[in-house]
Amino acid sequence: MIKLVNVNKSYGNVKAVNDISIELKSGQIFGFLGPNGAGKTTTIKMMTGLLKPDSGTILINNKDMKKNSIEAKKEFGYVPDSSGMFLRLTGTEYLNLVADIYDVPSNERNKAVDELSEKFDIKNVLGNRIQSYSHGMRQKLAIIGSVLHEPNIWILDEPLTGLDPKASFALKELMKQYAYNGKVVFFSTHILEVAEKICDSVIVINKGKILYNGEICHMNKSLSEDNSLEKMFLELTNDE
Amino acid sequence: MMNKLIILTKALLKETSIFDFYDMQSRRKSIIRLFTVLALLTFFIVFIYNIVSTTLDVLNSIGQKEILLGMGLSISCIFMFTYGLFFTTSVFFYSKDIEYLLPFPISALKIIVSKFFVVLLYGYLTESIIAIPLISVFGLKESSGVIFWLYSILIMLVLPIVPIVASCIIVFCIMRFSPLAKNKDLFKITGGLMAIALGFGIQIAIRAIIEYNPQILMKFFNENYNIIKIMNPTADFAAKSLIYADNFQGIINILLFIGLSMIVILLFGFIGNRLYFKSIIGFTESFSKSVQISQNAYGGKLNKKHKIFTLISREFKTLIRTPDYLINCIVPNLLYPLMIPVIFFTNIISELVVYLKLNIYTEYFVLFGFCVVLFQSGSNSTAATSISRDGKDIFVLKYMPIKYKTYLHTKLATSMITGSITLLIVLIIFFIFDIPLATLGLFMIPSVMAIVFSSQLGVILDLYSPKVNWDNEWQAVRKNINPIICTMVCSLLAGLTGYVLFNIHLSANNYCILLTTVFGFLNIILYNVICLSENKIIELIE
Repeated sequence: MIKLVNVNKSYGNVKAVNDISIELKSGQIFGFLGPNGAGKTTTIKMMTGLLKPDSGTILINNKDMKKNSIEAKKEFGYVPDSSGMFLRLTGTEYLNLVADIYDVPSNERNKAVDELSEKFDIKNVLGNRIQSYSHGMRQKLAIIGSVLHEPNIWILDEPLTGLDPKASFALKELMKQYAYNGKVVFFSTHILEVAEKICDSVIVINKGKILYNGEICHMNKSLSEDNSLEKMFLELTNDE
Repeated sequence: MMNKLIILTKALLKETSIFDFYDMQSRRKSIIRLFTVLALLTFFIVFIYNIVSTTLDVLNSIGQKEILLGMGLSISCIFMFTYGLFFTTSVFFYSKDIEYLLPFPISALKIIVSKFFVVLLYGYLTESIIAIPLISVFGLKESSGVIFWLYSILIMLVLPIVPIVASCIIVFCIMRFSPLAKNKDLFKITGGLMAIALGFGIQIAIRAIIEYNPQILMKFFNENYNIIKIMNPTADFAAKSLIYADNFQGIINILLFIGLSMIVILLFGFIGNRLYFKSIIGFTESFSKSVQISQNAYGGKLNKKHKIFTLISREFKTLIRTPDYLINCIVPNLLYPLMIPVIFFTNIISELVVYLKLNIYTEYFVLFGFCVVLFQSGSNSTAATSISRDGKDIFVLKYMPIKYKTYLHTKLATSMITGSITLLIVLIIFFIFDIPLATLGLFMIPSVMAIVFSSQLGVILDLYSPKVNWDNEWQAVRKNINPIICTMVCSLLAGLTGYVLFNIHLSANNYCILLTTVFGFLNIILYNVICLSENKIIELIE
């Protein structure tokens, strides 16, 4: 479970995140939508401890990110939007490092890497240095690294960018499987068709404020009837 | 045309400069950097000024003062050419801006010329170290007139053109035709080792100049002046124009000097336009072999280890696999045991071994051994680039469940290990020479304190002013002022400690106890500073 209570963040005079409160319950996939510069990445960075909120509380499985950040960080796996990471290490070395940091036992990490590298089709390059990987391959490695410790919460920032169709499909299936196993999947995206297809709920943010938080079917009722998510999204964000 | 060229040059200069006065946040750091660079430059200029002044007096007494000006300007050209090789490689090939510039509707020639201007500005910096004191000594001692100073300004502006063009064309040719250039990592390592060899050579030359014998220097000048004159034709014209500034011969020489330099620039435009873009295409990122992993390939590879061990192992993998880090952080530690005796104490070392075997002068071995270790470990860039080296990877380490203190401990451990390489080699060498173990122990204990001190100081400096926003690893170590500050502080402290303690005359045991206690105490303070500053990491990459 993720809980944000009255969270604020400003950059100088610009309010990037304006008093937002959200609660994400287990067993669901949440899509985090918003135009460029709406506050999505800032919110995700605060949830993952990369940024300090100016005020408010962030709880990751009831662990306070401010007071108990190490325990809170153990609860989630995170796929960042940029794919530059330890470029001089090989794929295997990177995954081993992540597994060591999260205290994943040897047999479990071997099983997970074996299975996931097969699924994302990067097994044959794991012995190569990450600097030789394409953007998509780095993204696949980040995805595998983020779930090695089987986190209760999976946070992904624009995870589909750069992925080939096969990997996109594998990722969407994995997200569904995660939610099915009672975990929280929270991801930001600009691809509304994907959000429409796999999300149980969506959160729409613009200019740092939450405009909508709920199931897509309920969104239909509060806005123009029988619209696509794209039309509803445009209607919401244009009103601002 | 000129407008676009100026805009482009300004943009490229901003990319490569360590100064940024436009951004308010960077302004303070830039001012400190500027003052440090100016202080270093002044130090070198004063140093060279004194050498030139003494040499001029000697040459004046035998009526050969003119040779000094020609020789000095030629040496300045050789310096500019040598450093030009590195600046050219960096500005023309290592900077990533070319990827963004190529798609723009800017002519290739404009890109080449603007990049050339950037290298030329670095050339002026190199030129100032020798040419400013040289011309000033000459002008002041000879009470030269207005024409001399006017020619001097023109020479200062034009002199770097020929050596910089020469270095550009050589680098373009290497990049275009050498197979070495196809592998960026290998090229960087080779270039780095050459730079170290060059630095080593310069140090030996400086030592030779410091201890020079005027007769030998004169003989060298006379024997080699013609060769150097042919190598630097413009320097010869420049020197003659200054020597004959008060007559017609001066005008002829200055015109020849400027004319030849202009022809060289045109030649550069012609050759550069044909070579540069073809060579940049071949200059790719390093590649690693694509190895197919078998079904059981993970066996033995993905084994659980303690996270501190894993993080330290990552540090060393990165240090060894990144050419810029390898050359700047690891290789110097391996070379120091070789360089120190060659540069400073060739004769002293052999005498020292004899004395130490007889337990004579042990106290000075402990004291000055400590000072040398403090200086050496302080000049080790590993500590003072600890945080900077990670660049945007700090981002990954921030969302993972690692305590910031643990992260800093791994940085300290890495710095101390690399800082200890030299000490370890020196201890092994002395052990082989049968120096008593007790003496080695007395030397080793305070020396370890020195390594801990310099490592902690370096980490603190880099924690408070890291350079994490780089797009090329070279910038993290070479465009980072922290290693210079760390070297300066440790050198100063080593000098002060040596001077003060030498004058109070203690036994080896007492030197060991005193140094260990004082630096142990300082280390506790620095460690507490690190622990209290751990939250500085959260402010990075916000």
